[in-house]
Amino acid sequence: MKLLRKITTAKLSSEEMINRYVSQPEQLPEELKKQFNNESIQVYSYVDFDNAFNLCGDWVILTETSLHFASMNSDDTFKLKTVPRDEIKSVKEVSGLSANRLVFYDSDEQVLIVVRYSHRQNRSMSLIKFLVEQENELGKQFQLKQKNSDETYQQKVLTPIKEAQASVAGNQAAVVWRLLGYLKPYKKQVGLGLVAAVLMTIISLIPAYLTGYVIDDLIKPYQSGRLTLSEVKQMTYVTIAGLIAVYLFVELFAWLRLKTMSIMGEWVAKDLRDEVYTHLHKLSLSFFSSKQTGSLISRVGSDTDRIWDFVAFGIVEITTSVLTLMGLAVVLIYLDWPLGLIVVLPIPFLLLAIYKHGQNMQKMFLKAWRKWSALTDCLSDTIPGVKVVKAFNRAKDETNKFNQRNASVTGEFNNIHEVWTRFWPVLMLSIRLVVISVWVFGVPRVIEHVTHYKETGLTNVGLAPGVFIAFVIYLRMYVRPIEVIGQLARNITRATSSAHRVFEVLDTEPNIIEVKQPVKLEPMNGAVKFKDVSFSYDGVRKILKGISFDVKPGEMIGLVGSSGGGKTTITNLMARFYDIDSGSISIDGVDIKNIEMESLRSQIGMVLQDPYLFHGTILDNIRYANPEATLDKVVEAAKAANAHEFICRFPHAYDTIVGERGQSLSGGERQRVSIARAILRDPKLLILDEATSAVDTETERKIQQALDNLVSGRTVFAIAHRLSTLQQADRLFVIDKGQLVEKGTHSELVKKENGVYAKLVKMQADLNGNKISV
Amino acid sequence: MNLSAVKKIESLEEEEQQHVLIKNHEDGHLLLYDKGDYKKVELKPCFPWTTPSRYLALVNSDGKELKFIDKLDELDEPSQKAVQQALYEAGFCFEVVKIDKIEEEFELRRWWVQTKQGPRQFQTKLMDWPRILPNGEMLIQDLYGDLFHIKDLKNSNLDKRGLLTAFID
Repeated sequence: MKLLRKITTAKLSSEEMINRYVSQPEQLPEELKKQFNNESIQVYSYVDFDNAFNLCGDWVILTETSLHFASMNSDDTFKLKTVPRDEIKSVKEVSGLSANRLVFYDSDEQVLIVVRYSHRQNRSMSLIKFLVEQENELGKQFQLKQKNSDETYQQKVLTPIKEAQASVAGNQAAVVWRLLGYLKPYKKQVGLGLVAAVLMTIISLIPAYLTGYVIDDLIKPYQSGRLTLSEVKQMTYVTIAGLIAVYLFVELFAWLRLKTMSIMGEWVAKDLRDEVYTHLHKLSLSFFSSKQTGSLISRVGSDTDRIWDFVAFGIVEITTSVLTLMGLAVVLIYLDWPLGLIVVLPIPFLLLAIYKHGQNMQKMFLKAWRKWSALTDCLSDTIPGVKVVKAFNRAKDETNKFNQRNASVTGEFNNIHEVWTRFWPVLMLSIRLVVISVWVFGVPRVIEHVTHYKETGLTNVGLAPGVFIAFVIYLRMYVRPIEVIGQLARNITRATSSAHRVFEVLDTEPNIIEVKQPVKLEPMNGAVKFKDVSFSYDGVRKILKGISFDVKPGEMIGLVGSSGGGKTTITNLMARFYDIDSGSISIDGVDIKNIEMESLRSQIGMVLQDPYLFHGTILDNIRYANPEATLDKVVEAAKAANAHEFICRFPHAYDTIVGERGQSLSGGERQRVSIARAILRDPKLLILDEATSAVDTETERKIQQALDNLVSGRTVFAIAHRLSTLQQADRLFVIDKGQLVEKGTHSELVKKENGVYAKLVKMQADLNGNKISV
Repeated sequence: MNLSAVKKIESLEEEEQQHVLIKNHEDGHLLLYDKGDYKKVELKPCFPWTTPSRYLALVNSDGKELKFIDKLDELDEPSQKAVQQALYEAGFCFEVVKIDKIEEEFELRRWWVQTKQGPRQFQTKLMDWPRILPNGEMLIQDLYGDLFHIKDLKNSNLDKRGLLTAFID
């Protein structure tokens, strides 16, 4: 399996991907690189537009000392314009529909360099802008995680393709091969299924042969008197018995094949589903943020289902079709080679016709699919928005729109029916033509045979009538395999696309890896230390810039600051959802990277702004924190969370089903259930992220009371925009643009003249028309 | 209003009349003459596809609108030229003149086209359909966000192999 995985994941290199998809240079030309021998190149970008918006091959290169613009001359050499980095005082990026502009200015706002480029170069250009701005802002050069400028360029250019496609763009044969690897644990069943299929195919060739045998070897000799009636009868009974046995065996093997392969296909699909789902839970949050939920769900669901279909039926059907055609060819040529050739030679042409028809149908289906998607857009737009439709009295317009699209889809599907219903009779006519050819060439030879036999009693001239009839019967068997083989490419593509998508998940390695001998923190005290922590989600834009703080066990810390400043990121890092870029985070003096993941996360509780409840009862949701908790403990937690009373008001109380994502509860109720869940967890480190922001004042009061019960005796990090909710915090950390700009108690910070916190307090007081006590 | 204030306004109006209202800056911005000074502005067409040359907003770097142009012909000639140049850049997209090949592969649709700007290869997601504009033209957005505009779908040289059939009603 490992070898198979290796084959399939033999990814295209970045250079190959750029060549394949982007058709632009895979790296800075060597000729240019040589010119910067003495300077280290930090990043560079391709410039694909000249000033007149014609495609060109220029480059912009940022070295440690300068910015260079290399414009390509007509003789493919480059002309360099160089600006020292310290002369660049600002950079401005202007985006158009498809053309962007990056302008570098000096301290007098004079233009130094202007470059124009398509969105394809956006990421690498933005990185250049970011690096220049960082240097201007921080006074020192920002060091990228990736040191190699070629890799950085390739990564920036290829990101959208990789995100859209998948990391496993391996070849189709390798994917099928890897898929077959999943049959390995079911070798016996596969063997049985295949043997049954092969035997079924071979045996199903016998009845036609027997028909010929009955005519040529029983009836004809009886007519000529070479066999007696009793001999003929006896041999006929034997033949009929043989025919019964043949049919019994055909059905027996068909049953064996279908049963074995269907059940085995289900097991293979189950194995894949288990493997994908288990693996999904090992993956880091960054993987989930880069993929759409629907896409991930379909990988576990419909993709594995398609694979089942391929494994259970596709493989066998293809095998038996090929075998049938080969068997037919051999038998027919063996029986009579000139007639055999008449039947066998058209096969490639018939296959080609089916293949071409398939391609044409694919185009038509694509069109129908597009129209179908427009129709479903109509539904997904108006049904959730039905209130707006009614409020603006647009039901009639929406109905008309739907009717138009519906008619268009129907028209398209009818076109498809027109084409396929025309094609198959034509194809069948072609096959009938083969049959007629067999008659045209066969019948005179049969007459010749019969005449010669009558005259001489010899059977060596012409075509025996039995052989001719066997031919006619064999011809009936040859349509289905042609059809299956003609559609082979389409079916394999469908299955391998699904397999690709499943393997992509399986081949993604988790970013967060536990050390070999991790430290168990049991119990955790809750001392949290950040030392010069820097972090970015995408490796470019720093979200946290050198954050340091030391929090004692049991302290309550309020994290405040404007949105996007990095507060939630700090809490994400404490739970090790992501690994930091530089600095260190320790809990109880142990580096977080050395702590066993289970012992870390089992002692962290989170109450988020939009609490997520699972489909199930309220009891299930509270117990999610601790499935072993007794009912007493559950009620105790709910009471502490101010949730017990409202829960008891429901007819089914704790056994009430909350619906998908807890939809049947109000926002405040969901929040209190989530607090009860956190209380039951009894975490040593508690994170409250905007826990009261989305509720009314009365509910907020109740939640606040619940939170007061929850925070005592634990280290707490609370994020809140409503500063009034943080007054009981021991200390406040003010986070601004990724930096810890102020820290202290509420009363200390509010006194700071021009302090960020003081300003925030004042702004909120003005907004609310009341004052927070100082 | 005192006399000196009136004189100041009058002299400002005279000065404004002497200046071209809008002109191009070498960095690609427009310069709008406003209250005695040229200010850097960006051109933002309100309806880039419905009516690209009307309803144009001139905004400063903070996104604040300093001038709204209803129709181009309300401007003096040099200003019109400047705005037209900026309009070209703001609304620029690849203009497809020939479809060479369209292929599907795992989760991607790959396009090979000839554009007025040169040959280009791009990709779209399988479920991202080309958009038919109200005027019947076609617009395709690739994975990077670049736009490919097909003005004349009936042009016989555009798609000799009928590759666009699936995308046209």
